[in-house]
Amino acid sequence: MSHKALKAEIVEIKDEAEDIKSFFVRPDEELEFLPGQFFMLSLCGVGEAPFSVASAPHEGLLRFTIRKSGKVTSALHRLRAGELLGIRGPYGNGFPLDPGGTAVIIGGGIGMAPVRSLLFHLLKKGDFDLWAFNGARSPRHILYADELLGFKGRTKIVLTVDRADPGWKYEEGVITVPMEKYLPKIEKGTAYVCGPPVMFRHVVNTLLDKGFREENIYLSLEAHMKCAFGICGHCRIGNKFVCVDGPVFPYSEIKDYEEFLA
Amino acid sequence: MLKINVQALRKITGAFLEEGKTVYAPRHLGMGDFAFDRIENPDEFQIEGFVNTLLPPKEIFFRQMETIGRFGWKEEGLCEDVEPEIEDKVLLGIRPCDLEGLLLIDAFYDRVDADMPYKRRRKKTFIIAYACPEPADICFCVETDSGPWAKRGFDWQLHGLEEGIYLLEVGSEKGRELADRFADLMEKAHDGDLELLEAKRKETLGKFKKRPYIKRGIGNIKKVGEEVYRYLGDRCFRCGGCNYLCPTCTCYNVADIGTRRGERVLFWDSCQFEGYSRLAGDLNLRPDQGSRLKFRFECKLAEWNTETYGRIRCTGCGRCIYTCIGDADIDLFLKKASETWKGTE
Repeated sequence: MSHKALKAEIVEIKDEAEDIKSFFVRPDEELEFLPGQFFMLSLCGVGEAPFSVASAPHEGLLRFTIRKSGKVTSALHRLRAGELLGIRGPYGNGFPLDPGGTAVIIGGGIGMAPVRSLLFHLLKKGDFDLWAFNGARSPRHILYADELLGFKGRTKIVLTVDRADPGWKYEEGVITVPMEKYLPKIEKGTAYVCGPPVMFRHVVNTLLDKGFREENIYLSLEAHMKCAFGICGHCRIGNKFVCVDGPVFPYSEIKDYEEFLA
Repeated sequence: MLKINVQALRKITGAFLEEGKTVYAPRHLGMGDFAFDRIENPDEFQIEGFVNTLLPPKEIFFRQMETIGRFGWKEEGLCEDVEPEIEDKVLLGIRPCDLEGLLLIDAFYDRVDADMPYKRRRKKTFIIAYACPEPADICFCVETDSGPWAKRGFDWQLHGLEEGIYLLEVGSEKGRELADRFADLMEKAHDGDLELLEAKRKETLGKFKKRPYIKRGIGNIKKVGEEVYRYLGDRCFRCGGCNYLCPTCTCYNVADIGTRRGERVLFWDSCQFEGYSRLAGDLNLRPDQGSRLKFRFECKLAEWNTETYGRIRCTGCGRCIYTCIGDADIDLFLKKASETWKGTE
């Protein structure tokens, strides 16, 4: 329906992990966005789907980290640099950008993509007490490992995988394991979480244990929106719509919606 | 109030058609079934003698399937928007429940600042409602404050006095102008007509089946246990009929048809389908039918509807009750919701 798409050129494609690629995209016009917002990408003859941005606003090209998991994503994975796609957006609210204390960023699997945008934005913006937990099923599935290592000082990055292999030098265990182990009690701060619904409940419980208040835990939800402006119905959650009122919600607002927190 | 007969109404319809307006009105399909259809000449419509049309007229504004884009025709890599077809039209014979449905869709779309075919089509419509003299067994608009006569949203409303004779109620400025224009086809209603209307209305209200559990069930919706949804979920055939026939359902999906050259098509979706809540990677937010029914019933009846849309989003038309092959409909739901559930009966 309305909201015209722009043409965008794929400038570069990077293999990130098993079945996961990053697409660096240049739209015909500059599209300003905030970390946590998303765009609708489309391929004619295939369809349109929502994708959050993995790059921080200052990084130049829009970067979409996409796992091959359905019709549109499989078609995207067959594209090469130089090819075109349709893009419209940005949509949604994005993350609150002032953590007001310690920032704790938690990304599970492909859920690392939107929080990567926030992480690199915060790293550029100032010197925060910042923890980032990046979890994946196995070393073959971990995202951005090479980009995340090497930060020092007040930035602490923890990589973990559910099942390690002999070459893995970092943590082993589901993401709450290193969270329990390393994360101190935090009195003032904000947590930013994105990952599969099955991860949310456990991560939220751990964060509550560590002293976070429900309203300071932000979850980025996934829903398969078709319109991105609140009318197709697919992403309704109570009387809110993930595409307009989200995708980022404080836990206090959505804790009754069990389907998102399985 | 004005008074008009069906012959005059046909003359006015003829004038509308002559000046190029599209007229949608109920047409008899045979076997007692009626449907809204485009009327080519003024003798074709029938507004009384049946309770309601098979489908609400929402599809005139929100089409079941509509091409919204074309690709491969011009610029590579981009889907070109298709300009929607917008007619200057008259909707004749819409029932109060379905009119309330349109008003609820309006309220739903008014939240967003986007140009949509629906909004443009609604704006260019003259609405002549028909107040219901006779409910069907499944009608419960009296319980949802949306009938049997309309209180808002019409340009004209017709109230039957006897066969082919109606009182005409003007409901808008546009309605006033048109009533003036066709003044020689109408007369002023007399006191006796108004008294007759009052008596008819009382009679109509008396014909509704008593359903005290409707309001009680709605009031109790927060407390409905998972077992109720499970029970209904087991009975549901997942056909989506309740959505397609609902005057307030608007969920849609979008698909591309064709590969190198083709169309992007918008079509009605149903929250009762498994694919509706499917996410990437074979996750499903609502993997069981009970949770899908809960999603639907809350969409229509939850408290937040009143905060956001001014009322619940069920207008009591009853179509989802007669179409439900599994008997998992809103009537049974509200019966269950109104009582304290004590397991399978």
